[in-house]
Amino acid sequence: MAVKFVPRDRFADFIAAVTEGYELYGHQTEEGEQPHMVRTGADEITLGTARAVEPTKSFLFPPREDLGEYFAGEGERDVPRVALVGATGCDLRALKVLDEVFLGGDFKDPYYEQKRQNLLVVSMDCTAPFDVCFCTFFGQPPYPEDGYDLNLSPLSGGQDGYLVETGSDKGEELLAKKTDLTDASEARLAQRDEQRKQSADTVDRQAKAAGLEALDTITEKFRSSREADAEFWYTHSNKCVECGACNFICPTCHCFLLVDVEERGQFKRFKNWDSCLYPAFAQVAGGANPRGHRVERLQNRFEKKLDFLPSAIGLWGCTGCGRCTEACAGNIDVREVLRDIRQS
Amino acid sequence: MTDPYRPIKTQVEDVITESPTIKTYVLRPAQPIPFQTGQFIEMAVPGLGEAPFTPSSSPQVEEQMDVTIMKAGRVTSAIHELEPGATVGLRGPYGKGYPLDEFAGRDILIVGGGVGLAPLRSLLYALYAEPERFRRIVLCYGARTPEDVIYKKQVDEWREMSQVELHQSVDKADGDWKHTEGVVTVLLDDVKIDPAKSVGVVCGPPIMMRFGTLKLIEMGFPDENIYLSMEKNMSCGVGKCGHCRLGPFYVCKDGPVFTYAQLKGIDKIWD
Repeated sequence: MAVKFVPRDRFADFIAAVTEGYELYGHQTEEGEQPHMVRTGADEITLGTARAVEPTKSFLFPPREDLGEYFAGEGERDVPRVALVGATGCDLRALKVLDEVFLGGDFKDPYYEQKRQNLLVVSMDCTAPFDVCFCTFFGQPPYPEDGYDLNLSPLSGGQDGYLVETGSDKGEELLAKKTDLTDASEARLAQRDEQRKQSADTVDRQAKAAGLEALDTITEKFRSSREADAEFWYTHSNKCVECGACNFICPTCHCFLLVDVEERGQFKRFKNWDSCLYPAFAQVAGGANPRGHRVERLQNRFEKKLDFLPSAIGLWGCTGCGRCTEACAGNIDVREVLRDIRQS
Repeated sequence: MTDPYRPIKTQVEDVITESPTIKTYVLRPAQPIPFQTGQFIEMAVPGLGEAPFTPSSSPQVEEQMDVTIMKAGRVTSAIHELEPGATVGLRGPYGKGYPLDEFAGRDILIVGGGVGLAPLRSLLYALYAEPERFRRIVLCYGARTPEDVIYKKQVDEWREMSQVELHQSVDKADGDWKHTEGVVTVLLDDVKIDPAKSVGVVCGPPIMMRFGTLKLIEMGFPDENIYLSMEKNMSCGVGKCGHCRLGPFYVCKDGPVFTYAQLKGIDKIWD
């Protein structure tokens, strides 16, 4: 379907119409702040200029998920339909990783699957990437290429309206119902393309300034720098306070722990986010721990992103969203680690 | 929709004390859990937690399952408090077990240490159920002391069986011990076997796995004919939760049985 144009004053109505029947989550953005992806009304949405603070995974793989009745075969689940407005290119690339993890292989994760099937993704172009963003380093532009139902391109930050394009059958159906929209003009398409180019140039410039010129053979360099016990691993890992913030804020980190509890005589099982930086993450009951040292745990995180996932599912485990750099209590900058690996 | 994360309600039918720290639980799940020998299950104490174990019973018995458990941590300590009649949770089976088709026609040298005999008992049941496929079975079993020997009655039965050639050791013997004293690997010196026509199977504590493997290599076993049962921290059992990653593998879904050829070169496999 042709790209459509939504005038600024009809944006809220448009969002309300396409997300009808969904629990709506979208950006709310304070002046000068990063957007938050929160439960919202269509008329309260204020799109940010780049990704939200919250990783998209939390809507499909919540931090602490009650699995319902303890024993199998008991109880039914009711899963709401959720619409996300404002997901970005990096968010969608992270969803691809999570889809492979939770839906691939011999077993599917039914909790993820049901929420994923009920998800409507209304994504957006990044119009002013944050200074920690470096998605282009991993070969990805700061706008969605696929994986969305509808994508929004805010023109001049939304001042000149929005372009909408479809990326799925579901998106096609939704947009087909909006017969009041006109096709985007050549001039507006050119404006979108120019904005996209500018955003990509901005991220590219930032990444290069941070020492991230090109990926090169980063997987091999990761392996050899670990093999060589390179000094920089200790420089970074000695700053790690083992809080797990990088894992929890990371849009592709998917590790979890099944936790059993007894509450008021009822047995419950929860699926909780877990962190590979925690000392006991890989420890067995007998005491053996293949990652007993902090430096091994930090290396493990990068091995997962740069080595394991690319070979297991063909996708990088890092999207360049920069969230972990902002969240780290020890001021470990993911760009500096990647730069040191590259230059090793 | 099948749910791999929630357990099947299961009755503890019997509890057999094997040694001061090891008990066998005879379990009856509400629905049978057919498994292949070497695959593992997750056993839960409701409200407290779960841990992975490889069944020690015959894979041909579907309604019941034996699980032999050493008291080692929080969950296993709680399991050791359970008595017949208790309700537990079971889910599985998960992972890849022993590839019996690869074993067919070969001599099978089994090296077990301590509670590591548990999955090997299941393997032995599967092997001697088909004597025409697996003619020679050599079992080398080591424990710390005579009182740590598990399955004492069965071990005596195996000693009498024509299909099984049993060698036994303890690290520290007492006056009544009639067999070898020393670590389990010394038993391998007495085993006459053609490594090119055999497979080696090792299961036990990490240090024994390591030295058992090195010994088999020294004897001339090719890396791809040495089968190891790996123990790693696991939670989900189905390759999602990330805990048991070992290099390019998840132990839960790609193992827990691996050949040494798959694992050599990966950092920290014995830790």
